[in-house]
Amino acid sequence: MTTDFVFKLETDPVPIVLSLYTTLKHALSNPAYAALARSIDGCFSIASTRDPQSATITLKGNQIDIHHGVSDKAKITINLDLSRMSEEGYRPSVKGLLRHPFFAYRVGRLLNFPATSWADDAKRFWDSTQFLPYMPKAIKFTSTDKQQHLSFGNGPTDVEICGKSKVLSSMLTGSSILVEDIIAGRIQIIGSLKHLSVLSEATLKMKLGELGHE
Amino acid sequence: MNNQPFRGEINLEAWLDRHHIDVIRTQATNLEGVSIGKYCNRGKFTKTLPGGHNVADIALAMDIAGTPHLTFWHSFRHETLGDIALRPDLDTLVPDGTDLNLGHCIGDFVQVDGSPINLCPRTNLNRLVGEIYDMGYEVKASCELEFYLFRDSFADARRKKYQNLQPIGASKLQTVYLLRNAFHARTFMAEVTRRLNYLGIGWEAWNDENGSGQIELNLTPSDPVNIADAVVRTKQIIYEVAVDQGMSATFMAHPVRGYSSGMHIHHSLTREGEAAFYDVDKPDNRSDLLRHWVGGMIETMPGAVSYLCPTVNSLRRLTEFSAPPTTATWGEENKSCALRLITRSAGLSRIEHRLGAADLNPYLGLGVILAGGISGVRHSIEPPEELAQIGWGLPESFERLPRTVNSTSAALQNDAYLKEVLGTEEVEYWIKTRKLAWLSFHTEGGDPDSKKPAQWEYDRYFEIV
Repeated sequence: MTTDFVFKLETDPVPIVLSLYTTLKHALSNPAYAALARSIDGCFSIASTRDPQSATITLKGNQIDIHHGVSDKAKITINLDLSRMSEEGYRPSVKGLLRHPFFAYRVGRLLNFPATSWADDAKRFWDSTQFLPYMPKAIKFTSTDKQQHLSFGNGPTDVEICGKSKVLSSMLTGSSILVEDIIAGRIQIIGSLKHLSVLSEATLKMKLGELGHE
Repeated sequence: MNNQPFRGEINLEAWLDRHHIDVIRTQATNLEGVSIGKYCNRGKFTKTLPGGHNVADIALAMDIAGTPHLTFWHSFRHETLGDIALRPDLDTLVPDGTDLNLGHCIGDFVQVDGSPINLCPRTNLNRLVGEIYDMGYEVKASCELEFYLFRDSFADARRKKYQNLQPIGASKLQTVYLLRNAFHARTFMAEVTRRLNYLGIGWEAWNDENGSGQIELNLTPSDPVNIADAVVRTKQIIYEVAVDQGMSATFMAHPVRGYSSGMHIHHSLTREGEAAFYDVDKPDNRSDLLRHWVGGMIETMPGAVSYLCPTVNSLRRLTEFSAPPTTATWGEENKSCALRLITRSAGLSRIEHRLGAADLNPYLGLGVILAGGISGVRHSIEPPEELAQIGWGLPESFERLPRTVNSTSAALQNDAYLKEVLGTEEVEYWIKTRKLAWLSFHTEGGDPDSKKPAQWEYDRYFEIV
């Protein structure tokens, strides 16, 4: 489980470091992926192809270090468009793949952990965020592909959020930010600007690891 | 020409007639220190008094790039995007002088029913000045504006991505007070000071500053709100004269290698006309008020950095021996400290706060400085020992001021004194605006390891702050 791992982040971490921390914490909440992480020994780097963002992750036993920048010691460097990470079928280029194929395979699996249940993600999201200032008193999530509804809180629904279950999961676990998903047309909302803003803040806090989703 | 301001008059229509003013430019300052407003025809301006014309509430809730704040919330905002008003302060109504049919009026953001919005920087500063008045004191402040002036027009500068611009001046050496450099800026500054004079903005001197093409302009002391008004007007004038003369000027804090642009802020308190920082009966001439005032400002300084150096770019200034202070220190006539005290006579007694960057919002910058002083008096905060040595190059045991957006935000978040005086919701909203800029910097092209400002910084700050 995540709690078995010790994360060590750089001082004053940059967004990509915090975002990777959140992603790994999420992956490691799955025991199979926690075991996979323990089997990886060494470091790898991730570099954005669109801007200077980059980070290096070092795994050794139960310790995971994350800092910004590409390391000379990295066995592989994954070059990718960070905005397309959650796209189905998107394949980043990997430097060092031929020298370290098994290492690259394990890292690839770790970073592409299967989506969790959107319903579980929604419950964890609500549990972690309902006490933030200006949050709605009652919220309803609708999965448009699974035709499922989930409501949380008390009283009349203040906000309804609709989208495909995979997209909802991504947003609810901090892999994406609500307002960006809405602008991109991936998610729809019925609610006020206030609730759009505070729910977006909540997803941003999830992304930057300020709210847990153990 | 008749350049009498409206202040002190009663009949607005008569004043407008007398000055032949058909259009009034309203102006208010958002959190980023950016002036926004409208050109209103005379009928519209007078018809909407005293409440002022409406603007979308997003005017006070967007970042410097115009992106609305959609990842946090403040209670002044309307849940479905509504209007607020820009209420003119008629005491600031002045004729333009260059555009003969134009007048200018600064205002506050208020709700459409006239109730105040605490997040409005000018409103908040006015409130703080009122608090100090209620304590029995009056404040005077002045600002030193530093900026860079280039021969390239704004259009050319943009085309060159703001790189390799030609600074005004004779020498590329990092000189200061060099009259030969200043001579090259005289035509520009003559027009700037002519317009300042016309608008009734007092100025004392201008000179060549350390950076190549850098100029410093010192404003005459006044009430803090007046001086903040003067700063935003002066910045606008400098921008407009640069446009008119085919040049470019920037208040971006760190646009070139070497010296950066700051905004030193002087202030003093008086009680019934007497200097309140000065006590002739004390061996060091320092009053108890001054001691606590300094104590409060030092105590709150780590949190105040967020307001005084508000951008990724202005935080680049805080390096040793580069002129800005790096420690929360104070000393008599010590320009290497964050607070330079001048207490050799009652008439001169004042504090020079040397931390501010050229890109700060003057209402918020003055506000956080006064809030520190108020806290010091309210809680009888004692200052640390005076620094009699140089404030740079000190051993690591001397704590440095925070120098990153995250560390300045954390310091402010943990500052109960500043929250008490400035308002918790307002402080926390401000922190979120800083973190939004930090996120944009890192995800839109900023390199955290580069010593050189990112293109993102030039695009965002060079022409706007």
